[in-house]
Amino acid sequence: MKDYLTEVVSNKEIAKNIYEMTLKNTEGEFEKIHCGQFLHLEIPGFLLRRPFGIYKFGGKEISISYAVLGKGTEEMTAIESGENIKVTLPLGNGFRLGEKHKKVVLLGGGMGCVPLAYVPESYPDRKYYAFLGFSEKSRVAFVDEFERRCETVVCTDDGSFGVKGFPVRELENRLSEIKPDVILTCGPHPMLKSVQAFAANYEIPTYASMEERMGCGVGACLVCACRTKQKDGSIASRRVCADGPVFKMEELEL
Amino acid sequence: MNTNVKIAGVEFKNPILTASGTYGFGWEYSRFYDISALGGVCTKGVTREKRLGNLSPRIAETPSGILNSVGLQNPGVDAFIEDDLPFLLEKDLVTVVNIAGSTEEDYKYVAEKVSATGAHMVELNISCPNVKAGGMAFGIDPQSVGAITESVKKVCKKPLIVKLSPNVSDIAANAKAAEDGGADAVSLINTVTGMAIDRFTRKPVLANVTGGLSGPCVKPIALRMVHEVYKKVNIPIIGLGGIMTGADVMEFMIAGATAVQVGSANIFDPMAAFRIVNELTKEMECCKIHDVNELIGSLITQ
Repeated sequence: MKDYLTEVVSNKEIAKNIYEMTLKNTEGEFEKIHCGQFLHLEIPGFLLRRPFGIYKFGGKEISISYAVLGKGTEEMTAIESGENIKVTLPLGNGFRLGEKHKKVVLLGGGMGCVPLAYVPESYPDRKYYAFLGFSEKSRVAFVDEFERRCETVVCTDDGSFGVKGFPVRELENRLSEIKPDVILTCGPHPMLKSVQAFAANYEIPTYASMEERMGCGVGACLVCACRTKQKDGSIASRRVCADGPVFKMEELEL
Repeated sequence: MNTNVKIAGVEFKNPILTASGTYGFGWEYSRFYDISALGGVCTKGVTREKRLGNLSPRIAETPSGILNSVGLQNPGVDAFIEDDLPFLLEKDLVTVVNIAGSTEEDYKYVAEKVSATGAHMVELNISCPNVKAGGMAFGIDPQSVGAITESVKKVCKKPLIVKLSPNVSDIAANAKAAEDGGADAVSLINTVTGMAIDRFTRKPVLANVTGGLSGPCVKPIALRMVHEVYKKVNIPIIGLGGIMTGADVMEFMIAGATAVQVGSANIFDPMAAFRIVNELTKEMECCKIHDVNELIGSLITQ
């Protein structure tokens, strides 16, 4: 991991209040990124950096996606091409697939689709099925990126685009046909809870990428804690930034 | 040019340490630069038993600052000594172990354990605003500050720094009580108790409701308190609160600090402490200061 001074290549709205920002390393290649890792970005005028899952990676260029949620992300929309932005990357452990994970389900909810999009690039020799959920049509994003590599099903809560309903239910409908070896997921808390119950019920190995408010992003400040169950039954407080952001689903105390 | 300073017989190659809770046990930042460039490292607060800390969210950004409510998450003193301390002791810097507890017995237990290691100094954390028992409760009034200092000093074989809370009516009186209790130095300030509210959900932003405020917004408070304490005590002061640059370091030293701690800045920028070390020497060159010690308490008020 390293602190880079990058140049903004583009920063554009790709769905309602959802932006894609591409950053360039003007001095050469970035360190190699593994899928599910994140970067920590300095927003001009703010003290705390903001963590973003890595959406696309191509050596000298890296893309993130963000939803406008607060003052920080609001300010980010004003960043223009050519501006210099500091980022630390790559951070966190990301998704790790085993040899036996041949058929992989990517289960994403809203902005939780972002860290899943790069998985097929890190592991190109697998069969991918993507189940993506969004609140409604204007918030649907990232679909092209998944369709290139995965058999993709898009759901919306209100049925205004794709299938009406939650992606975990669509996966359940096709489960006997797909027979996934592993599920990789990221999304809002209620979705993760339902995926946890689903995975336990069907006994499918599942890994979830977690989100938490972060401080340093490098494992030092212990701000981004999430609770996990240890093998001995005790509860541990783990760092989303350094021990995660990807955890075994059955370990998480959601 | 001399950047060496001395506190209770312990030599620092420069007056810049990192503040407890912002720097882990040093390893994380050693991936960004050689941490031996620093004068010293204060560890995350260590307690008798392992602690999970508070629920998340534990951090919020506020204008020119951050609120945190980590709540002393740490692996416990035995695991710390076994797994974390050896890494720091191999480095060419002063290792200060920050110790915390719920009871006087806890503090003494941890101080004794740390005394048996190669750590160079102990920092007594009686100013954590984020735990229910102990923490700041010991650091509120001069009587309790004096009593806990005296009690820990009896069993602590390392020079003892008492870390003071700003959430008190008279921090100088507490510093004096620490000195009278046998403290070898005081460090100040810990975070200022505060809170943040989300007006849409009407909920506090932090799961713990309140947290400790740090960053540039507290620097003027910290400078004023270092100035007040410097007038009241004879033991060295380690100043901290919102230090972001080498210029800030000089301001704290002019107010009376012998050394400083860089805290939140590490969280904002992984290179911060290293950058500040270099900035200080540049500032000294610029101002034609040959010995950093000439800054200490050099404030001109008339």
